[in-house]
Amino acid sequence: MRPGTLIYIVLCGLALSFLAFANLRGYVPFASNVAQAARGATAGHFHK
Amino acid sequence: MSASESSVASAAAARTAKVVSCPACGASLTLRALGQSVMAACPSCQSQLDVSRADVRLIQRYREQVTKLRIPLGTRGVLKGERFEVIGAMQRSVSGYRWEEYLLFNPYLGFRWLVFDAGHWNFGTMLRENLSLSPSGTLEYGGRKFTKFQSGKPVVDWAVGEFYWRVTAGDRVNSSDYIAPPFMLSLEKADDEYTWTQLEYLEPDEVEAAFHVHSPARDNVAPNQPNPASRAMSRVVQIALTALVLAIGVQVFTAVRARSSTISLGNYSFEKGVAPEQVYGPFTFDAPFSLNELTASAGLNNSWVELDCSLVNTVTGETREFTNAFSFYQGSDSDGPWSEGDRHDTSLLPTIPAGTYNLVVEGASGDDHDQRIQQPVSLSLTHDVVPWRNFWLAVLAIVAYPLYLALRVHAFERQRWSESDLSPYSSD
Repeated sequence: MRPGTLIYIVLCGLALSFLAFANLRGYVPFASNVAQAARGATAGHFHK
Repeated sequence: MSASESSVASAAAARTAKVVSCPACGASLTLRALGQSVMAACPSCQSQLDVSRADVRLIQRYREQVTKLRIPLGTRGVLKGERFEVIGAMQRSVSGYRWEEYLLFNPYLGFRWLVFDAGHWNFGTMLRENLSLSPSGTLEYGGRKFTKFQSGKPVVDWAVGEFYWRVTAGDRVNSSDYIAPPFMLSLEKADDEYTWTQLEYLEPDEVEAAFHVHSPARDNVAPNQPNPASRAMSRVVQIALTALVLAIGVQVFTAVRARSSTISLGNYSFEKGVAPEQVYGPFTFDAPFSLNELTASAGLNNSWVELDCSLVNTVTGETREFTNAFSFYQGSDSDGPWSEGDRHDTSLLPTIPAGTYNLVVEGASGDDHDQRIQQPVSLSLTHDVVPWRNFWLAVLAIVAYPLYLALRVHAFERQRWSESDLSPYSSD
């Protein structure tokens, strides 16, 4: 098997792994306007 | 291979080489394809001799060293698993474009051709049958469809060595070439004689190894040169299709498995007297990790809304902050009515752990009078959704290399056909 073909198979495997992992873990790239804040005043204020 | 060639080739094995004397210088001359060659070059004085007659008549003096043969006469080598000896060579040209043709001989197989053209090599075998063209001008042979590439009237510039027909400088034929890489069918018409030759492209290193010759770099694409990107494409296309099917399977499986449950949170109000910070919940996310969508919508008209949101885990206090903002404007001008923006916005909340949450929203809004809007903003949360974005990213990664190869295939074919007057790309 040629190196280019082997690299392509690995790339396809990575793409499929990413798809399965991301969908199962609820991950999506480029989700803008989202930031994870440290526990602090804002969180504590509405913490019930 | 012609019929006559075939018959003499089979008979050749039973014969032995013959030594004759050169009438020009008296040197001994060994005829290798005895009974088939009609002319030969003297190794001492390079005279061209007519060896079809018993008295070996002198045809033409020729200085072999002037031609500087790429493969010297008498060189032996193994091509396609068979041993051949170079017994003749000639140069032909069309409108100043030159190439070399070497006649190979094997006493059991007969004659073959080795054609050198601008760094490219072809292995030629004459065909016994007379092929016929389809009405569309294409050819079917050996299970392949051949397309016409070019035609011309090549002329022999010089010839040295043995040949199975009388060849002299200035001989001219009408030729047409049909290609199905790596093969090419070449038709030569001289008087009433039609000769078909099948040429198979050889990689230069194959010829270099066989005849120990130096082959210059290829400076163009030969008519029947295999497209390297096509070969790579044929290797990866099956892999790509398999990967795409698997990607669809993964997407369907994870989408079916996802909860996709909608939680209606109510409305955010901009009315006076209502606190700007409004809390929704608690609600529960039961998927271990999930992607969630918050959709806010309002009947905007030339106004905007911005919601600063915090998703707060009621147990751990962990917070995700995000902004949901949208605006909608419309009007009309000399070009007619126009509008821009949306009356809703969706925020994605990725990798949220299971737990109970509150959503804290602090909003701001404005219209074209810098006043807060009066309409409520509807808030809806969808828990554990599967987005298309991951799928399309995976598809992009899978198809990127085949697409790149497709572009290379196209570029190579354009370059190939740029040498032809019949290019299917000429109208591009």
